[in-house]
Parts: sequence; C-alpha cells; structure tokens
Amino acid sequence: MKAFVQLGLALLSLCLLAACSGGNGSSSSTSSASVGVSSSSIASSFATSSVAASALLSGVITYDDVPHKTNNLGLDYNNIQRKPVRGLVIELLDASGNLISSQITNDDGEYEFNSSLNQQVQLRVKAQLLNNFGAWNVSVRDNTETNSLYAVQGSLAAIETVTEVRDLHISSGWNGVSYSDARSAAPFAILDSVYIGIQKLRMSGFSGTLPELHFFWSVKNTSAEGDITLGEIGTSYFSSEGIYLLGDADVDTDEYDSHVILHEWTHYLENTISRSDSIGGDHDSNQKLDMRLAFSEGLANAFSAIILDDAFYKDALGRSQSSGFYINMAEKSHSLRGWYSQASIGSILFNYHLSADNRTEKSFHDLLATFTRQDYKIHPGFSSIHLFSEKLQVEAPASFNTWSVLLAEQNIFSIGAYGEGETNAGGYSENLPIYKTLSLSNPNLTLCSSNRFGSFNRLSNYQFVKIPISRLGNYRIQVMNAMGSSNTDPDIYLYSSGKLIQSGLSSLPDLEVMQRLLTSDTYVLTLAEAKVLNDSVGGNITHCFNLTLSME
Amino acid sequence: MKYLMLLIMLLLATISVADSSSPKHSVGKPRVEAFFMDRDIIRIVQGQLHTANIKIHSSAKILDYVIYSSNGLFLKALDQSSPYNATESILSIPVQMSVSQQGRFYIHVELTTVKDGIETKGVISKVVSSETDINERILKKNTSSKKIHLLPASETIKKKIDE
Repeated sequence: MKAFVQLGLALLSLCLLAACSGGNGSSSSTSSASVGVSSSSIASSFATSSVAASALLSGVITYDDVPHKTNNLGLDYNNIQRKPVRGLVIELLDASGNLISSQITNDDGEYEFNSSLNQQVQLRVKAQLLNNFGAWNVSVRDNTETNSLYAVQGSLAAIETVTEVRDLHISSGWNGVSYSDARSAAPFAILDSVYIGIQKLRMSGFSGTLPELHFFWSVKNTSAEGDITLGEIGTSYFSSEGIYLLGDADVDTDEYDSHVILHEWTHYLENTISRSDSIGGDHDSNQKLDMRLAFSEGLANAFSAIILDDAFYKDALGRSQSSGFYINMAEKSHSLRGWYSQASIGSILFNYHLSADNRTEKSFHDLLATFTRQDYKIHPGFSSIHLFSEKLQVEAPASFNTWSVLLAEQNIFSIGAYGEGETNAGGYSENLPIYKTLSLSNPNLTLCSSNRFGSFNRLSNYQFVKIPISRLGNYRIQVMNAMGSSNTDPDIYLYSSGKLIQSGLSSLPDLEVMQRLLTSDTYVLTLAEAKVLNDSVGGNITHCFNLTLSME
Repeated sequence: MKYLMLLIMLLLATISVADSSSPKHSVGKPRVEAFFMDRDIIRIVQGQLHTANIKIHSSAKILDYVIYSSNGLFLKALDQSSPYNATESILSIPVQMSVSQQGRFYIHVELTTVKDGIETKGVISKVVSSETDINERILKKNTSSKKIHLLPASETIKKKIDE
C-alpha cells in the first residue's frame, strides 16, 4: 500500500512539474516495487490518448554486491557495491501481466524496449542468465517454494514521454547490523558469479553449449540435512538436479561467496562438458583421498580461483557473516603432497595458470582445452592428475616443462594416464602401481583394500585395475580372499571410458564373480572391501584378495 | 540396563552411514552428521530417551564444541580437562536426548575451530535423522516449476520531456 501511494504521489508531482515548468528537463520518482503491487488505477489516469505513438523505454538494472573483507575472513558490509545485473532476462509486461517483449541486459545492466506512448507497462527481471542462441540457461530458484524462479518487478505505470528511463535496484536487505529486509540481491549475486565464469570460458576459447542449470537458494537453506523442501540441504553442493546453496544468515550463507559458487559450478562443468569420476563425499586438504575425488575437488578450487583471478579461495560464515576461512591456492608447501591430495592438485593447476610461459595471468586456455578434449573425456582411465597431465602434454607441449616442475614439487612423478612409473605410494606400498594390469597373459593379481587413511573415499579404499582385452569373448573375473575365509566382502566395479558397466556387489563371503561379454578395448575395474567404505565400522581393516581373469 | 547398553553397542556396530554414499560434490566446509542410534528398528518415540550419534567433520582443529537440542537443552560439550587433540578431523560424539517435540528433531552444534592460527566460531544445525526421514527424502524428488518468487526492488522512473 505504501508503494502504491508513493508511486501515485510521484506521478502526480511529475504531472504538475511537467505542466508548470514549460518542459525543458526531466524529473524522476522512486518507489519500492514489491510483490503484488497493482497500480493500474493510477496509471490509467494518465492514459489520455489512444494513439499508439512509439516510445523508448530504457534503464539500468543494478544489485548490491557484498565483497569479502581484505583479510579474506568474512563479508564487508561497509563496502557494499552497486553492480550491474548482466546477461539476465528482462521482460516488459502489460497491465494484465502478459508478456509484451523480453530481452537480455547488456554488460552494463542496460536494457532498451521499443514501446508505445501511454501504454501501461511493468518491468520484470528474472533470475535467469540466458543466451539468445541457447548457449547457456542458468536460473536461481527457491527450493522451499516449489522451485519457483526468483524475480523482481517494477511498478505498473504508463509511459508518458517518448523517451522514459526506469532503473531498478535490487538491494541486499542489510541494514547496517543485520538482514532486516528481503535479501533480494542474493539470486542476482549468484548469477553474476556464473556470468563471470561463462565470460572466462568464452574468452578462453570455449564455444560450445552449456546444458540448462538450476541453482537452488533460499534464506531457509541451512546446514541441517533432511528435507530439501524445508531448506535442509546440509551444505552447498552440486548434484544431478542442480547446485544447492546455503542461505542461512548468521550461520552460513553463500550467495556472496563467489569461490564457493564457482567451485560447485566447476563440478557442473565436469559433468557436462568434461568428465568426472569423483565418488563424492567429505574431503579436505589434510586427508589422503581417492585420486578421483582429490582431482575433482582440487580442480574445482583451482578453477574458481582462476576464473575470479583471486588466489584466495574464501568462504564467509558465522554471526553477521563476519568470520570464515580461506585457502591460498598459490601455496605450494602443503604438509600432504601427492596425486591423492586435493591441495596438491589445486596448487598445480592454479600455479600453472599463473606461471606458465608466454601467457598472461588471465590465460585459461590450456587447462580448459585439456579439460574438454575428447580423448580426455573418453579415456578408459579415471579422471586424475595423471590422465590430465598426459593430455595437457599433447595440448600444450611448449609449456609442459612448467607443468612437470609443478608436479614434482607436489611429489607427483608420473605423466602417464595410468600413473605409470609413479613412485609416491602415499605411505602404503600396495598403492603402487596405481593401476595393476590384469590380462589373459597376466591373469592373477593380489590386491589389498584398506581403511588406514579413513573410509569411504580415501586413498587405499579402492584398488585400480587396468584390463586390456584384445579378443571379443565371454570373460570371467573372480575375486577371492587371499587368506582363505575370514568373513570379508569384496566388491568390484567394471568401467568403460569412465562409465560403470557392471557391479559385483553380492553378499557372498570372501568371493565375488563377474561374467561379461567384452569387446576388444581397455576396461578399468575397482575393487574394495565393503567394510572399508563404511566409516561407522571401527578399527583398522586391511583385506587382500586374489583377482583372476579367464575367458569362458 | 545392561541389555540396553548391549543393544546400543550392537547398534553402534551395525549403523550404516546413509549420506556417505550420496553423489554430492560439496565444498570442504565443516559439517555435522547426526543419527538416532535406533533409527533402523523403531520410529522415534516422543518422551523417550534416545541416543544419537553426532559426528563433527572439520578440516580445522576442533578447539571446542557445545551441543544443544532444538529447545535449548544442553546435551554435551567438549571436556576441557581432556581436550581433543587428535589430528583426525572427525569427532564422533554419542549424546542422549529426550525427544519431547513433535516433528523434526534438531540439534545445534556451536563449534570453535582453528587453522593456520585463525580461530573460527560458528553454529551448525542438524536434523537428527531417523530411517523414516531418509526414506521420505528419497521419495521427495525435486520437481521443476514455472512459478515466480517475486522479491522487492526499488524503482526510479525518469520522465524525459518530449522533444
């Protein structure tokens, strides 16, 4: 109602001003355009002519961006910046809410509609980052309100002059102490991080199409884990449904944490324009991880820092978002270094970007080109620092010395896709070679699965086996406990070019058997003792198994 | 009582980690898992004392924690006489809670950590899950929507005089 009255008064004053001044300038009015505002009765009083003379309606859409403090620990609400809403869908609606026209805001947040004089119109800006040619379509939705699309709207008012300007500003809702008003800027801040990411891809030579992506954000999105329609998302994460982001003020909210947003967006890129074989789950820099997880998480951290051109990966949290943590991606002296360390992977990728020869700091081309290479995406070996290294050597041979030095600094000594010749065993000799080869000419292997570095997704939980098949035929893969019977439960997974094609997950004690028709190709198999994948099973567990391959 | 303890011990040994198999790719934030120990066999009963297992995951060293139930009842805190000094970043804490409220059962963990000399404090809230919760979550698939969630914005209108 307040907005309604404000708009009415503003338009009335405009009318008086225009009538009395002789008309040699412009005037402006402001209003708070909120949900459900209807000012058709006011606007109609100005609709004095039915002649559809053309008019130009233009303006700028801006939002409040909250930067991080210069010490990288928390948000700096004293330096909120007004930024343009770039690349988003803006619609012109008529008095009934019907779409008249739509377009996409430019890099400065500007729009320009050709319209009709005296027509009652209303602007709507959707939280939707869209490319006119279908190259990308990213939206921010409310998972606690039937996944509705966030949007802001201007007031319904008649266009009275041949050229009219309507600017919209979307505020953060921060009152200097806390969030007292609606946090309208949040979805638009999220999309601006993605806008930066897409621009970076394009400038670095990517010209493909990005599949549709939904972000899910709500002020109710908390670290509680349960029902996502109640906001219980647990943490910010990527899954096949989209990217969920925290929004819990004074606890953890991520709309201004661009590194976090782009970290998750990189996981989306892995799953759409590249590949990811990560098994997911908890992870951090101090853990020896499954190499697939380590590579994916290190890559996501590095890409976020490269895209933002900001080495300090940061995440604000706590009361008033005034604390947080940061990771210096340029740091090399990690306590844990190797192909199983996300810190090492992140460091290598980021420092390559910074220090490689004959390129500017902003160059991202080599890494992106390798990331999207077809022979990287379909290689039989899993995505790992080793596979990436092999393909980077092909993509950027002139810069490969730089890469090799960075690998060695992180105690990684192989550049073969399967980690051939790697000498860093991560503190457990059974981890080498990284891939053991099983073939008809080498049909027996002994492999050990262990939880000595933790459970579920840690180094040594899984063992990796390369299986080159040269003849089409029915094959039998058998796993037996190497010590006879000791109530073990071996599980095996067979992959072709990173895609799971068969699992052996029976509950038979000490035994697993898989039979399959295999064509001439190279396959990869993983083997794990089921108990080492379960972190509620206590104690140190190491079980060794005999693996055999035969043709039937 | 002995049998109850034995039952709890057995459940401790057989409890599965429901979410660890989730294909989520998350950032490395501190996080908490919380499960009722008896989630596999009975529904959570109001008014009864239940044991929950709470796990705190953190890449930073855990200096302190205080755990409250959703109605503000103190449940557990770090024993400062024997502080947690392990390098392992996962801390598993069994707590007993009387479930007195209907609906969902929250706990709040006030967590203080330190990494690279920087101390961080925060509160992590968590639904204490039962098997029923997990099954419901699986059934509730996220669906797309054409609805609009309108947010307020301020508008400035400048009327330029016709030339």
